Amino acid sequence: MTDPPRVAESLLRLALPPGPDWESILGDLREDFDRQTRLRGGRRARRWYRRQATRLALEYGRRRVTRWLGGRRPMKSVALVVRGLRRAPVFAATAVTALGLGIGAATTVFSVADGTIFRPLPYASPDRLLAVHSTIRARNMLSWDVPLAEYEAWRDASRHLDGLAGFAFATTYTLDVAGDLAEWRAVSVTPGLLSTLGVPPALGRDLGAADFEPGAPRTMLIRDEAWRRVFHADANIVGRVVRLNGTPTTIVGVLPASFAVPTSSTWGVADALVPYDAADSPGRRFRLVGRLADGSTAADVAAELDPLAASRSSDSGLRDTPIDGASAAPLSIALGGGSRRTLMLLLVGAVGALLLIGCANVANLLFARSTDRAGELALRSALGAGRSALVRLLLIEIGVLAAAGGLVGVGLAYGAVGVVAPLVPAELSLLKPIAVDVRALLFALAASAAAVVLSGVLPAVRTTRAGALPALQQSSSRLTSAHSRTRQAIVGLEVALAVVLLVGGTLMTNGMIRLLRLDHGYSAGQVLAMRVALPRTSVEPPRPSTEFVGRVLTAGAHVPGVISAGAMLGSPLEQTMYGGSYQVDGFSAEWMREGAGTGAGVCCTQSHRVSVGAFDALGVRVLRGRAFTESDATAGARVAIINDRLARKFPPGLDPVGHHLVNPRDPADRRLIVGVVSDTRDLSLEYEAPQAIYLPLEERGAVAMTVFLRTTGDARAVAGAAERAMRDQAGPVVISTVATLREMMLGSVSRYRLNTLLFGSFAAIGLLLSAVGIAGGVAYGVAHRTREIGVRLALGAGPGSVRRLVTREALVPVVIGLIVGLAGAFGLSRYVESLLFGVTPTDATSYAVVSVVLATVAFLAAHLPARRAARIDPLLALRAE
Amino acid sequence: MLGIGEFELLVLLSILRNLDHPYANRVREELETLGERAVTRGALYRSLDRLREKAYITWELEPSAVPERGGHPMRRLTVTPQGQAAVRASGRMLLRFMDGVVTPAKR
Repeated sequence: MTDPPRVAESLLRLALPPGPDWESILGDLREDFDRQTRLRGGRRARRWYRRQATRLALEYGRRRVTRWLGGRRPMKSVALVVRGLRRAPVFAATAVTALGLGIGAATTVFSVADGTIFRPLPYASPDRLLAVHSTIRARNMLSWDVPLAEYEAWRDASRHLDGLAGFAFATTYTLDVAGDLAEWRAVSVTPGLLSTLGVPPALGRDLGAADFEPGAPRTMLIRDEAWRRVFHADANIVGRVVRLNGTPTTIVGVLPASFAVPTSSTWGVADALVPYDAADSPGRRFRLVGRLADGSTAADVAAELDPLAASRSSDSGLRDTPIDGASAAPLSIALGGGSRRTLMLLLVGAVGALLLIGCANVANLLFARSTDRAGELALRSALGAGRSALVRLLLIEIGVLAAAGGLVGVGLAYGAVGVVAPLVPAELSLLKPIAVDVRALLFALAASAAAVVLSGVLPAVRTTRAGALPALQQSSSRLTSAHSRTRQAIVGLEVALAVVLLVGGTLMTNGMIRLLRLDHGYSAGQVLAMRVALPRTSVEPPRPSTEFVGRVLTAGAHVPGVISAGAMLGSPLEQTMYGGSYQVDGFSAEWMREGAGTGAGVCCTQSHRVSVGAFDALGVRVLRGRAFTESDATAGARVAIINDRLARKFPPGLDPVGHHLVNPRDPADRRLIVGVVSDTRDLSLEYEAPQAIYLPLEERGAVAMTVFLRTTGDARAVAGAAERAMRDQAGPVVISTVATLREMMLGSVSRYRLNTLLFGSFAAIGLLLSAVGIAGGVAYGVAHRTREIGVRLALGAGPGSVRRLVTREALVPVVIGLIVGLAGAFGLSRYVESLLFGVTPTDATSYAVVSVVLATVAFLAAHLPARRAARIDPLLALRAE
Repeated sequence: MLGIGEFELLVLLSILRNLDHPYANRVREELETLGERAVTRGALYRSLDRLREKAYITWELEPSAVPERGGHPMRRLTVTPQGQAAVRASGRMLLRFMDGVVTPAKR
């Protein structure tokens, strides 16, 4: 006898009224479930049970709600509330806006976070998967990739793993589909990657042992996205033969849409998986994933593999430091780095604060409004409505407001996700596209429900408390605001939360402004960058060609609107590093190394290959000497150019131009320094320019390079023409990334940009909401103190003193909130440190700016309604009594 | 019809026809077999609740007799004397109305 689906049963149990009478219904259903299992099989029976239980749960749930709403017509109460709200449009609009902004921001962040940390990895039983690495403890490197022989030895020896498979980083291929050439990224894998991950292909078959035999016909598995983009989702794709680097390759299957190579780095993004071919790229290292055997733990695996790896001591690829051990960690931890977690926690915190501000706002409005409605509630009470009926009425009201706010919020989230999603750094969104999906909608629903509880319950309970309602004959305006202390506390809380958000947003904006104002060394506005490569159409890779460089640059220079063209091996701003082995003649290796690097993990002098005209195209200035010329390319010229950072290390008065660079490993390799150029931040905008050496690209030629076209106008505008010119005039080439240099720069700091946008918007919304809260509170306060103010005016108080009185009273909670908020922000500051550029998290300027801005906004928000108070006509105010 | 609808009458009759096993699931089977129509669980439970409110039926909980119920109790349904009277009255009224009616098909 099998058990029925547990979730469905619990749902039904929840909906049924308590008591054993109703338990018999569970029994009835279970009895029939048993029969269904026998007749139709377990799976269909479970589906049947789920349907039946859900229907019954809805039925009983509806009945309970109806009963609670006081009768058989819940819509009547709702209609009544809606009518009431239409008589108070400002109140309703403010409340819906406040809730909508809060729920919208929360839903947006949920959608982003859901794709990055909340969702489990898209593999079967992901908690049983491990990331397995080799270690080089001698150099403190604990997650080194593993050579093939080592992988095979580990796989064969391990008893604690049910499967161990590896993948190398993606490399580019030339894909030839019936003559159309395109760049294609493929990841080389070992046998059994999909079975270890527990992901079967969506179409066709997995790569099998035969595909890995030396000399076997080439095969590949393609990614869902590539299948749709390149092959238009052809259902008969399996078995189709295309040419990959000129070799006929059979597509044996299509990966499911949710599949991702288990790495958090962008180099795992690929169009296809191909069997690793040792003949093609010997010495490649792999990143490994293992599946734990039943009853084994990550520690068991590490304890098993570590001594094995240590005893084998195989080549790590680093000079003089062999592999000396192995490590294993849960895959989810290996993929979810610490800073990402911090960021997400901060986001969740920020959004929670925003939602709370929205709710506090609405609670405040409800308190204020309840004073308005005291008469109405008293009348209802006198006519026999019990307290629970009054509470119910108030809760229905907030429910209606929250529902409307939820709808507004979902609309906002749809819009906002469209703006935010492209800014999310690719390595954060590998595992799931960012979108407002069903889960996000459910979240919005939950947020709205939370809003009802957070903003509605306290006012509903307190305003209907015995004694809180006035006697019928009292007019409502006579009531001095009975809830003023609660309301002041709410305003204080609102301000404190807004201040925390504002400090965060200001710090990040501050950092972003600094980042964008930096002198990066390029004139980026009018430079188009494109990656151009020679197609690989045969087994033999193409040879680096000077002629290719010349052809491409000539074609580029003739595009209308282009002033100059240049090229560079690799591409700037992608955090690639090219270590150089040159030293300046007459200076030691230590001198060369000293202070060479910058930023995270950059150790050495960068060495770049640039073409004639590249400095011109990039806007890099020649400070001394000259740039490269055509004649430098000829063999034997042997020249080099260095950057200013390296030049500044020379003793004062010594001109680097005329000195030589020498290669200690090859005494014949001497180069004359012919020029010094300005520094460029070519690792990433956030890292200072490292010291750099430039060599002529034309000496060796290139197979692939980044071409820079400097334009007279908008660089984007010539992109199409430039691409066409390359294809038509530069012979067979493969063009991939096309972007302006400015886009590349912004891309290199995308994480700062995203954070600034998110936290900046939160801060702005928080400020707006608290301003609304303060103004609303003061306005209601004034409305209900008309008589008191009238008396004051009648007794001779001037309008100025009334204004000051009202403003002062309104600002007391603001000041307290400001102080609490600043303290809170200071306390939380260390958590934002890793997200800031060039600003300390306790930056006094930012705190001062926040205080001034908030104080100004709060003053204005309080002052405007206070002015109205001062204009009250004492005669009218007193006659109204 | 004396405050009971057609479906309620059929439910009462089904209980009376199953005096050996007057349980909700048996009643539903009876309704589906004899009535030649699908009966949703929700409709049946709703009718049972309403009939009890009208005091036409009562029920007692019995510990589960069969293991398939997962230990949940079952309701033994009983038609009260008022319920029985209502059934009889409905039957009589139906007969009174049928009396003398010649259906077109029979003519």
